[in-house]
Amino acid sequence: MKTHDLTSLLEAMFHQSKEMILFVDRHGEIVYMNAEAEKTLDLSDYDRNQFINICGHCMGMAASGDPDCTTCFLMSKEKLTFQVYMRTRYGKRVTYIANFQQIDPENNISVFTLNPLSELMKQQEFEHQKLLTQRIIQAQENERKRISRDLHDGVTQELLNVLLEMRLFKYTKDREELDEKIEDSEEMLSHLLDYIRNISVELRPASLDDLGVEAALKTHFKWLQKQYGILVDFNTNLNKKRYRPEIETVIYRIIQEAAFNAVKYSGSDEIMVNLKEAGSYNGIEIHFEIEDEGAGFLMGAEPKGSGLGLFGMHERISSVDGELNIDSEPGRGTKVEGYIPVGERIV
Amino acid sequence: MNQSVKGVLQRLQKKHDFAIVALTGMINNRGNSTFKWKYVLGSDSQRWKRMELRKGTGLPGVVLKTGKSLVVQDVSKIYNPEELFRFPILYFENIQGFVAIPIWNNDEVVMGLVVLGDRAPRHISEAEYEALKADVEKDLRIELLKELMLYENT
Repeated sequence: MKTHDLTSLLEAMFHQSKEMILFVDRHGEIVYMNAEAEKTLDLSDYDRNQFINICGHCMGMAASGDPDCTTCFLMSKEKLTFQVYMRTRYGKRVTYIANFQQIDPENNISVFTLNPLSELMKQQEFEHQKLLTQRIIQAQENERKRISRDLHDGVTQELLNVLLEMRLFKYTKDREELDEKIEDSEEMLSHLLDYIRNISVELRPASLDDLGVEAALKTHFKWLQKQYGILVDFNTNLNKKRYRPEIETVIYRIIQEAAFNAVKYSGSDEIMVNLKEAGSYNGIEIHFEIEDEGAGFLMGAEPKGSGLGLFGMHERISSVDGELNIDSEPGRGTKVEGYIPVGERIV
Repeated sequence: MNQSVKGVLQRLQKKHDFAIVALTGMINNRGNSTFKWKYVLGSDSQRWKRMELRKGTGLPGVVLKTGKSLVVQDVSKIYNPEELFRFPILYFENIQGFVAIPIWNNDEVVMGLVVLGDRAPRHISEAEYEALKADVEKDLRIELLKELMLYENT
């Protein structure tokens, strides 16, 4: 081990540390503080008396919500990782993660260290972002798997069947038999056409671009009914009006997602969807509402699926400056509502 | 005569002790590419009545494509919830274990499909499956063929 003086190392740490380190006595008088603390808790705003006591800077602990002094850390010998509000040199209230520990029982001196919470939050945010990205990649991969399977199982297989059938044509001498084979192939091809059309509509309906959101939704709800046996009560006053493509896409995708959630999780046989254009003092707005009277869920509970659906809905709506609100209660059903400012229509 | 197909289904349900029995309508090779569930015994929802089935998709799609029976003792072990959603009848009726058997007509074409399921995972032995299959062949298939002939004559 290199011979370094521990005292000098500790001193260097004390002065250079990026966390605030303060030594206080049992009344909260500050005995020493490091440069970071001096920089953050500036004395210029306060008179000297205030400055020498920690209570002049501390705004209470943040156990649950409001700052609170009833269980002050000064009264304990040791208190680890708690939240505390401090007043900084600009008079701002900042949250810190603090540790408080008595180090000299004889003189009743304790060390008080503070780390800004925002740094910690940044780390958490980063971790969260990473997790989210992983999930999005996973969802993307699943979607590709689904499309690939649809193409392989449906399209490739059927095409192969037709191909085999057609190869037999040239060996079929009997006219009647040949006619039958041709008819069979025709049938297979028409099924295949149907199948491909279905895949393509599921991915993104052409009617959304060609005919607008109202027509696309109507087709989608018809499909929902055929696929899952769900009735959709669709009310709209859009009357074939058109809006900017990104707005129409957002409306379509959000309503689609909310309706899907209702189909998947509500257990209800019927969904109500309202889509209305309304004027407000700052222009035209589109209001939408997707409601079911099914199982509902506890707001804030762990999501049943990936949780990406709700995330995507919020992301989409904020991309067009709209607002989205979800209201649910177990046993009472779920209501998703929101609006999007559209500026102007497209004629 | 519908009564008798239904009667056979009820007997199958009772004899082999399944919570839910579903039978598709007649599947034609020509004409319509979609068909529906004709009877679902033991369902507490009306959704199946509105569902339209397509040859390439869903549980019927799988059985029709292979022409073979499908026995799944524990659905949750085979499909995750997202995949399960591709099989609406399993998803909505909460079927956890099932047997799906294709029914062939005399021209060696599948004309329908029967699903017998439970709302809990279910162990289905070889002997149980064979007995079930024999009953489907002997009773249900014959009854369906009778119905088919009646339709053709009208």
